[in-house]
Parts: sequence; structure tokens; C-alpha cells
Amino acid sequence: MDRRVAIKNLALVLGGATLFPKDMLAGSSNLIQLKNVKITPAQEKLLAEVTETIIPKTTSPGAKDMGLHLFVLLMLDDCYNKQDQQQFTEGLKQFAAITAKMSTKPFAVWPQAQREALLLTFENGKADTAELNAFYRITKDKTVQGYTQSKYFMTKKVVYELIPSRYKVDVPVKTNNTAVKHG
Amino acid sequence: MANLNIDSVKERTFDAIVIGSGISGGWAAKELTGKGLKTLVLERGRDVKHGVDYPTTNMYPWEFKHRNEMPLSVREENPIVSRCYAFHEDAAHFFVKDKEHPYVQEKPFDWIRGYQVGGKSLLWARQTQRWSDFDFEGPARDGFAVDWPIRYADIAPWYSYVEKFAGISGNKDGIAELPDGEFLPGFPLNTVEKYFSDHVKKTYNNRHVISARCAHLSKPEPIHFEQGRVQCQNRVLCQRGCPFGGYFSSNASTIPWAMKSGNMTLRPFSVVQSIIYDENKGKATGVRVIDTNTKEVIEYYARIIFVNAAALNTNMILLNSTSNRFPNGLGNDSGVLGKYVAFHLYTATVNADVDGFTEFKTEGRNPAGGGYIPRFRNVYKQETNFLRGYAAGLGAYRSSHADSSGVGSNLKASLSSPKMGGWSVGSHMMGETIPKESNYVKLDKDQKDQWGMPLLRISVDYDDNDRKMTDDYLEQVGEMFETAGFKNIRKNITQGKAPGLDIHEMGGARMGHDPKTSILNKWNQVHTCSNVFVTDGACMTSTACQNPSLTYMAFTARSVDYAVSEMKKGNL
Repeated sequence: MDRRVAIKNLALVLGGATLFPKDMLAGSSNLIQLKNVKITPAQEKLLAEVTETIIPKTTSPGAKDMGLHLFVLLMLDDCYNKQDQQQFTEGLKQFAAITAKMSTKPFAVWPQAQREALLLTFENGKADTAELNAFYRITKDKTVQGYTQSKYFMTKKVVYELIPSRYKVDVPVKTNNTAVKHG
Repeated sequence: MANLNIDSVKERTFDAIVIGSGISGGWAAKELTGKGLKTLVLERGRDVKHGVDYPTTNMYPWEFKHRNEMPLSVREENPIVSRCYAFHEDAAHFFVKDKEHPYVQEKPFDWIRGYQVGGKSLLWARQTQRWSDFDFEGPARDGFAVDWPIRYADIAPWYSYVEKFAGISGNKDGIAELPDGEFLPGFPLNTVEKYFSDHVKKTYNNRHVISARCAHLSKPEPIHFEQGRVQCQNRVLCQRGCPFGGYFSSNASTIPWAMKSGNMTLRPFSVVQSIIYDENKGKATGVRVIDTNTKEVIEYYARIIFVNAAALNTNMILLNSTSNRFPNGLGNDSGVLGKYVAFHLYTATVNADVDGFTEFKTEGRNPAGGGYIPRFRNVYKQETNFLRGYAAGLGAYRSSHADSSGVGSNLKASLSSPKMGGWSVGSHMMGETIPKESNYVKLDKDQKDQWGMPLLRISVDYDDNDRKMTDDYLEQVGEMFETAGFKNIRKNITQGKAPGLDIHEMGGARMGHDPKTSILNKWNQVHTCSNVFVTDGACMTSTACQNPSLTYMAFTARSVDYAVSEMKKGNL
């Protein structure tokens, strides 16, 4: 991931103009300052790869383009309780250990299929520990939320209407695959 | 404000003072200024100007830092207000935080407050139904509280008066127990709601499912454009404040109208400590205000005073207004002030799935929220093992669901193509409660807030009648759903929900014929202090089961009309 792009996106995620110190640009410090949760810069980067595996870049932007791992951390830090936060950070550590054991190559450079296969074992309830399970559940939930409630998704995919200006009833449905607008 | 101390009494003297700027205070301000009275409107909170002070109103979901979820630290610091359904990032700034304004709960009571110009009129659920004589005659017929000193005929023209100005959408349904009003076009029932309405009509001879009547401009009239309000745009983001003025609030409607008259002085940051009573004149001469910022105590004077501080705060002001003549609070010779507080039962829901109707969906959003089932229990005669009855909200929704299982490009694709699901239907209970002496508020003898006001002690609880009524609601609506063929019916009692969250607290300074058992007469006038009027929820003798705000508006307009005519006759 291009760190400068990520920082630009962070500014977009968090809103407003932000000045970034040099060590942040160099990748030796965290992109997001948290109040409750302690995450190392390396863990932050690993989380970015996990979210990218969940929402990969295709013809449309992926998790890293959108800074979704920062949204995961923001929500974890502000909206989850201590137990969830501890399980998450412990689970993230375990995740790093597991991937190191599985391959000499860092998770970031695994082929997408291999990364997906690992996450799917968690998705299917095969996580070895409660911490790993909590880590995966929170990351997945908040990545999906961050994606589906992003400006990109809500303006380009399933469009959110701020001002519907109508309430229509008995609207005929041709097919149940019709995308429903938000709200 | 710097020169207030040396201001002459004259500069602090008005024709009328209104305490509070919420849904009833706004009406008092509009009516009094409209009749040419120089009126001081006191508001304990900050000013909120229509359109200007709605910081979140045009924000998109992704612009909320936590996507509208309140951070855990805020929820932990504010457990009471956090239980309110509308306390989210988009409207949190309009709610009182627990610690800012403490009170004492003798029994659990979630007191939800909005301290700003406009009060809770910014946040209300905008449902507006008239009462009927089945409601006004309730206490006399069923032997509780005291007889209402008025009947429907007294208030009907005033319902019409306020409805035309506020803008109420609804249909002429011709139901005796829920009289029709001056309606803008009603919002439609959707496919399943209409099916259910027809089913209920066929199956029961005295039950109805109608489009909910609400304070939204479905089709504005010239009087609404004159207020600067335009058609409701179906955003249903009302709790943020509406830049279109699509729903009625003091901020969008009555307060700017009063301001335009040139007769209103609006003073935010003004906590009313007490009403000043003059023993010689035998009436109130003004109010004592604490500036919330400077803590300076300032007196304002007027010939008449309207108390519209919101039900429990109005009780607090009256209880705190002591004098030799009224040692137990203004107008409280009877000792009933603060007692017979009641509320609405929002304690149960029934939900179900609906088979079929998949050839139809809705588009856009419905500001009315769906259907309304007027009270059908004990209307013409007592027929159950509990007193009174309940109304119910009714809404049908067609879900859409995106499969969020899996990871990777498959997940991305499925998130982008939500599928239509089936219909579901939900109902919530809105029950009448019986005012009782044992449900009361009073002032704490020792504890005071930062402005030196005694803390309010609240002692309000459910009773056996409430529990029986809740069971009946579950049984009856469950049966109505069952006979309609709805599936997977889920009856739910909201466990542990304290009174208060209905945000319909009422009474304490009730109306009645007799000064020995009530505080206010049929004109909302304090029996024993004729130039003080109470037209907010504190005046309520009983609660009926309709959402109460429309009735407060009508009471206020009627009471101002009476007060000003009495002033002109030289009686006040």
C-alpha cells in the first residue's frame, strides 16, 4: 500500500486538514492515534492487509484505498468495551503468529486466494481461540460497515438519498433482484 | 446584559412572560405577541435558530464519525439519555446529558429533556391526534383522578385553530373516538398496511387502522409558506431539525412568527427560579431568573405569566415559588401540586412476518411512520378487567438484504446487489395510565443544582392496571395479526423499561373544577393566582392514549385567548 495515499485517505476518513509528522510518513508510527487500544505500526499495517482481503481492490476501490482498517480501529477504540478491545488486540497478535507459522512470507504478499482461505476458516467458525474469533468478527463487521457506509458505496453502488421527496406505495416489483435504495 | 443591574424596573417589565419555548411555550409566544402583548420568552438553554443551528441536518451517513453510533464513553457517562431511541450522533446535541442536569430517582424514571429554544419540539415524533369526549369523560365515568373541567366542544375549535397553522396531515376517517381535524392530505398506507386495515374493518366492527396523523406539510398552504416552510421532503431525519420546515417545531414556526411581530424578547440561558407572588396585590408580579452563564439573579415583571417549562419542570417552578400565602408552592392550597403524575405505556410491541405481496414495494420514506390503531378497548363501556385502553402504531416494511457472508470480490459483489426480502409488520403499544397520588414529583430538601435550584425527586411507577393492559394489548394485537394470516408472531414486553422513555410525562398541576383537588381551572388558570397559566403537560388531568402535543397547543391558544380577553376587561 502506498503510505502517502493511505495518509491522504486517512485525512478523508477523519475529516479536516491534518498535519502529519515525518515518522508517520516513513511508516514508523501509527496512522491513527487511539485513546484506549494500543496497536503498533506493524499491526496496523497487518490489519490493513486483512481488511484488503475482505474488500479487495478490483475494478473498484478496495479497503486500503478507502482506509477501512482505520475505520475498524476508530470504531474499536470508541464504541467497543474493554473486553472486546483486549480480545481484538490479543486476537490480532495471534493472527500475526499464525500467519508467520504458516509461511515465511508476510501475509501481505500471500496470493489473495490464500489469504481469503485463511479468513474463511475464521468466517466458518473455525478460529482456534475466542480472541482470534473476536478479532475476526469485529474486523469483518466494521470493514463491511465502513465499506457499505462509505461515500463511494453510497454514491456509486447502492445510492443513498438524502432528500427522497416522495413516498410511493404499491410500486410494482419486476424482480426480487432489484437493488433497493438506502433508507 | 452588562447593564442589567442598573436597568430600570421599567425595562424589565413586559405585558406577558412565557416560561419555556418548546411546543406549548412557542404557541404562547405566538398568540400573546399576535395579540399585541410585549412578551418576554424565557428559555433555560441556548438559542437554536431555524436552519442556522441544525449542524447535522444535511450530513450524509459517511460524514458521521461513528456512522451515527454514540461512543461507548458517552453512553457510559449518560445511561439515561442513551436509552432514548433518538440519541445518536445526528441529534445528541439537542438532548440534555445526564450529568449536566441531575435529578433524584426515588423509583427508576428516565427523564428525557431538550434544553434549548424549541425544546423537544425539535425531537418529537410528530404524531398528532385529537382527543374526544370518550377521553375527557374518562375520569368521571371510570372514577379516577378528577373530572376534566372541559369537554371536547370546548377545545374542538382550538384544535382546528392550531392544526391549520401547524399543518397536520391525515384523512377524514369519521371515527367518533378520534375526531377528524383540519387536514392536509394524509400519507398513504402501503400495500400490507392497507390489507391489514381492510382485514381489521371486516373482522371487527369497532377497530380501525388509519394512516397516522402527523405534523408534516404533505401539501403546504399559504399560511405555511408565510412561515417560510415548504413541503415535507420525506427525509425522515426530523430529529436533526428540518431546513425545509417540513414538520412543525417551535423553531420553524411559532418562535420566528412571534419574533416577526416585533413584540417578542427572547432570553435564552435563563433558568426560572420562581414566580414572584405579591401578597398585597394577591397575584404574581413576575419571575426570578438565574442567568445560567453569569449566575446573576434578575427579576422580570409582567401582568400575566404562562408556565410552559415542560411538565415536570413546570411542577418544579411552581413548587419552588413559595411565599407566605403559598408556603407549599404557588397555587398549592390543595396539596395536590406535583402529584397525580402520569405517562404513557410504551411497554410492548408485536412483530410478525407477512407472506405474499411480493409484487409490491414502497419507494421513498413515510414521515407518518405508517398506520395508527385508535383505542378500541373500553370506549363505549367498561368491558375488560383494566381501566381505559391503548392505541397502537402499525407499520409494514419490505426488507432488503445484502448477503454479507464470505470475503473478497464475491463479498464485494453481493454487498452491491441487495435482494428484496419479504414483508414484515410491527406494532407498538401506546397506553393510557391512571394518575395516582402515589406517582409524584417533589423538591429535594438538601440537594441543589449548580444554579441553586433544588433537585427534583421523581417517584413514578407502573401499576397493576398497566400490566393488565399490556397483556391485553399483546393478546389483542397478536390475535389481529393471527387472523390476518401474519406469521412468526413475536410478542415482546420491553423488560426493565422505566417510565419516562415514552417522553409523555403529564400532570402534577392538573385542571379541575375544584380548587381543593386541582391546581388549574378550565382555562388553565391557577385557581388561586389568576394571572398565572399553565398550558404544558403539567395541566393534564388524565392522559388518554393519544400523543399529547397537539392538545397542549390547543390548550395554549385557547388559554391565551381567554387571558387576553380578561386583561382587556380589566380582570387581570
